[in-house]
Amino acid sequence: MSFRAKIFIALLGLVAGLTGLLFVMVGQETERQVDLAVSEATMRAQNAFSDLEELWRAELSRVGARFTGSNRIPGALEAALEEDDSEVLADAANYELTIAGIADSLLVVADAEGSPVLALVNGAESTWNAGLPNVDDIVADDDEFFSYRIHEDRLFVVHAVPLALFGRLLGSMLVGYPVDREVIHRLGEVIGAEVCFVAGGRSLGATAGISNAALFDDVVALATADRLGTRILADRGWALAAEPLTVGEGVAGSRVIAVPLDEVVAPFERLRRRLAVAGATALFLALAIGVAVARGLASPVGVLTRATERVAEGDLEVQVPVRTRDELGRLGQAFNQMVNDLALKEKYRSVLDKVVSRDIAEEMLRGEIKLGGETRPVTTLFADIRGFTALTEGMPPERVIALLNEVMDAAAQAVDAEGGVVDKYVGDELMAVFGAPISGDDDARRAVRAALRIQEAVSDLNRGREARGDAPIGVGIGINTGPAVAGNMGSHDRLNYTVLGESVNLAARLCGRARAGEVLVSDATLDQAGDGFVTRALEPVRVKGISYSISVHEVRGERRAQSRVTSAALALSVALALVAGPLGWARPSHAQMPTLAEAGAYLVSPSGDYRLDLSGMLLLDVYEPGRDGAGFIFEDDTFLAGRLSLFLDATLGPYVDAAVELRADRGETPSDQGVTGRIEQAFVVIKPWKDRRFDIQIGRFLSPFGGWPRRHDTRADAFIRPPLPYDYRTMICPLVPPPNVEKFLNWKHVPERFRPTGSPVVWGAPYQKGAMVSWRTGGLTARVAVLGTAPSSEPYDWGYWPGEEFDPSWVGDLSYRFSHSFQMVVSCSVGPYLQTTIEPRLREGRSLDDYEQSIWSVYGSWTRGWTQLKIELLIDSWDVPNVYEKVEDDSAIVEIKQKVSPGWWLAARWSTIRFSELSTMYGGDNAWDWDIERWEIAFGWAPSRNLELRFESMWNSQKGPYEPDDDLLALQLKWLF
Amino acid sequence: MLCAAVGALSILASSLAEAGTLEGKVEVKSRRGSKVVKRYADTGAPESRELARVPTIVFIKGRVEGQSTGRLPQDYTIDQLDATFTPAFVVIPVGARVSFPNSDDEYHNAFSYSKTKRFDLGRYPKGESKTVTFDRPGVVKIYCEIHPWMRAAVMIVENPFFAIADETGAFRISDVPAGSYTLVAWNIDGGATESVVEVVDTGVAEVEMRLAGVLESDLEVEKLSMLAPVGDVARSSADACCQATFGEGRP
Repeated sequence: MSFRAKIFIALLGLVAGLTGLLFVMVGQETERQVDLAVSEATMRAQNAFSDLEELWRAELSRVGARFTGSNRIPGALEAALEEDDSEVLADAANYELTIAGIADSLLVVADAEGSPVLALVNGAESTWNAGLPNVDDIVADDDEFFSYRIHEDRLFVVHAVPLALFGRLLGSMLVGYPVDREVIHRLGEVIGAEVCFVAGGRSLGATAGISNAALFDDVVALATADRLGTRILADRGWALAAEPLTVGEGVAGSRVIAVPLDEVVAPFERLRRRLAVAGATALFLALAIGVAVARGLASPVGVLTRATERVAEGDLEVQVPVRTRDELGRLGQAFNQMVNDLALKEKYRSVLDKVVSRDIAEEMLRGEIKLGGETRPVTTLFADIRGFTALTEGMPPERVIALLNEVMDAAAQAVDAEGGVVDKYVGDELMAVFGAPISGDDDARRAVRAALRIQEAVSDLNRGREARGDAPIGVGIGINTGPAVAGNMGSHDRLNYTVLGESVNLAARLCGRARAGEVLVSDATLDQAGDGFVTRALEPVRVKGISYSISVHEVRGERRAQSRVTSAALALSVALALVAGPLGWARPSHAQMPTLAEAGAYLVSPSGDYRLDLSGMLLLDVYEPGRDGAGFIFEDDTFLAGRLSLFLDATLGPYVDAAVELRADRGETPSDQGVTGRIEQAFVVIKPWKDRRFDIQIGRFLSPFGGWPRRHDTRADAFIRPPLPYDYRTMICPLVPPPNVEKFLNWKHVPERFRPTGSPVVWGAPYQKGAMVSWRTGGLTARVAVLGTAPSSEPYDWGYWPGEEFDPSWVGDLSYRFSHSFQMVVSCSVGPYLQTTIEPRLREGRSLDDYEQSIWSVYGSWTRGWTQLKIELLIDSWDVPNVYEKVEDDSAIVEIKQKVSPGWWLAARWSTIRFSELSTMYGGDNAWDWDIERWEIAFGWAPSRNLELRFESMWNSQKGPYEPDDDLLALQLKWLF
Repeated sequence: MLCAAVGALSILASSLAEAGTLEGKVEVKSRRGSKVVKRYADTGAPESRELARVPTIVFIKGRVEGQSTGRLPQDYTIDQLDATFTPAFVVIPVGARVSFPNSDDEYHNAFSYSKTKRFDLGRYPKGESKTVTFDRPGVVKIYCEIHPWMRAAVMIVENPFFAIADETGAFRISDVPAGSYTLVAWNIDGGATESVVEVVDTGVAEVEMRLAGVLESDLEVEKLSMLAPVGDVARSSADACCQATFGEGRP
């Protein structure tokens, strides 16, 4: 399948898929709405009918009361019964019916056993075969005795009343109104639906709409069906609702209401039609755009393909037109360049036997090179494999050469990529020159970048080696800039262009001093290379053969300019929050995807004492870290992280609750590693009092220490990353004891990559095992917990129960709500923090429990309107092995969140850690780590109650000899479900 | 409705040759109490009226040879006073007239659907009176169309041998010529019961008769009042056997 076809199909598929999805969704929703509307309309009609029946009932019972209100009818019945003569009864009844104006009604009078004594229809005597219920039943039925009867093929709505004379129940009377065509017609008009009465499989009367339409068959079918109920006809024209009708003993009757659905369904049909038109339009547009895009993409590819074929045939004059600046344009440019280079390569072939470099060859070809040599400023780079001899000891020679070639090949590529010339290889060393034979303004800069590339390439090689189980390779690099003699040296038939001089020697010496992974440069090089690098000044060194001492710098990396993406995203976010928010654009919608609870994902026992609730949270994070990462993030490339949490909350009777959180993420500290799952929390809460004044919680749960962890998962925290003290690794290493205070103080100089082993001040949201007691009264809450590990411990130690490996950590907090807007929390934790593996390295007689971290937190939060201010202070103190002073640090966090409109907010946070000074053996005080500050700006938008989009930009600033490039841009989508 | 009466008859010898005496006791399970009238089903307090007390009469059925009712008056009055037929019961000879004056401020109407004498006097105001001639023997029950608690009965007899039972139900009919008679006890609520008695000269024939109660079950007043105006039945009346008494019998 051609490339064009693939793009076309992809685009079309996407649009078709989306349109189809939309269709399905709207279709389902429409179905639901139609069902709703239909059942509403049907219910309305049924209710209207019930109301009418109620009126009938009231009317008939008034007639009944009228007849029984006087002694005439009971008296006449008495006479008829005692003297077996119903004539007088007929007269009296007709008299009363005439007076009441209902002479056309049905009237049946029966004796106490229900045997009919008289039946009148339209004032004429008639035969009533069915009888009436026993009068006692009518009395017992109160005056609910209301139903329908068929008499002489006519339907009557009837009501029965007892007849009594001086307390003697003589019999009963049934009064009925005819439900004739006219009545049914009016009935239909009142309830706004068609009505049909059916008994014994035939209609007893129906509105005109039913008589005329084919509807009649459906109505009779439903009315005579085994199960009555409601039915919507296939064409959606009518909703039928049938209810049973009591028309007498042994006769099945029913009343059917047919509700016209045209007006109900029409809007939905209209919507469906419009959607179909919109979908077809979208598909057509997708078709058109797909054709255009596929053609636009595919035609340059076709041109390139044809050009490549010509090159393969040996035509090196081919050039492709470059019309755009996009990837395809660049591909064209690269192609042209490649063809040019190939052509050049042909030219150089004759001279390349004599020289190693294309540049030199070119210069030679131009006839500009001076064979005798010249003094010119050059930058020389030496790269040397550290410990090569030890590394290759006992290795078969072919593998030694393979290893050497692998490294040198990578290094040469790096040099080449930066426009340098690989001058020579000497054993495990490479010498490269920048600035000869051709000088540039940025020789030093390119040299340093080449060095960094070499280190990167070596790191890449090492990853492969480690995967194979081979020992890593270390390369040390030295660079110097200075005047050197350059020229072709050697015999006349075999010339070698090279550089010589003191500056070259110094570069070699610096290379000799560089440790594995280090890039050492001289002052001169750094001056010329400019500001673009993260460097660290080392002690000046004296070098053999050079009389003065020279300043040396370690280059740690290239400083990444504040990403344009970051700036643009930040500006856009602030603009969005400040402009779009107040303008009311994309206000938070009340509509939302249903949560699991709303979708019914819970179980409740009939008594309500036991229930199981399921909920979840999905975070999707995109991080773009600076070169050095930031805080817990040690990656230096953009990566995706996030987490999926499922929460199971169980109520186990009135006194016990339990909760479990299952979490899947790319590690507690976000990184680009694979996704793993685990049980993050699992605990039981015992609550002896209903008002929860006192609780006991046991299991693995969030440590109560600190102000931030308690809100880190909620809206109250506006940021994606934790504040600095919860997200920064100090130089206290829980794995290795420092031999003495001087060494400890030196640790802060180690390269950044050793940081990941340091202890944080507090781990961001630690979930530890233990037990906690809570006590609440008024606005005051006090909690005391005994936990397995300190709040600074690493996640893999969170599995310890208190006392399992070392003394338990005690954590407590006291929170008090002074007012609706102001709350304060003081918390404290004391406990050992070292990791178990350090134990054998501790001094004799010392144990893990001798080294404790004691930390206090004071946290205050204040809210006014749309503004929130939060402040937290942390005072931290550590016992460090072999350091006899308390090692302390203090942290502060100030955070302000401002809502700008519903759903939109901006927040800013400043946090800092200040490290205490320790006195050294040689006198003088020295801070044990570099003070650090962090600024964060965040912006968020909540499009609905359970969805949130956040953006955060973070800058760290460290007061050290170098400024790490550890900014962070983060984007997060949070979905609670 | 009527339970068969159980009669016990014993005849005692008498010295009188031409005529004997009938003595006996009739037991009536009669309902007593007030009649609750509620004109509208939902509103208004029910009116409570005392039911007219209609006594039990005992009489010899049919004609008695040689004995006329000539000594009984030909004109009687049943007044409609205080929404009550007063008296509620008269015994009259065949052919006698009863006038029904209205002495109340409101309209009254007296009608009867009894076959013996069917009439409807219509509604008439105070001061007017209408008269009905009863020309056939039998019982006529009279009701008012307007006031459902009003009732009266007229017994038209063919011979002078009748008695109104007293409070205890005892009656006495004297100077009855010897012979065999059908003795009837009648009450407006209990209907009639018959008994054949043999009257011998100068003797006293003793008769015990029983009129069964009209209602065998209690009715709930409220429920009935919702339906229609009906009589209240004192809840305990089924047990308490009250007797209708009108004092001494003959007019």
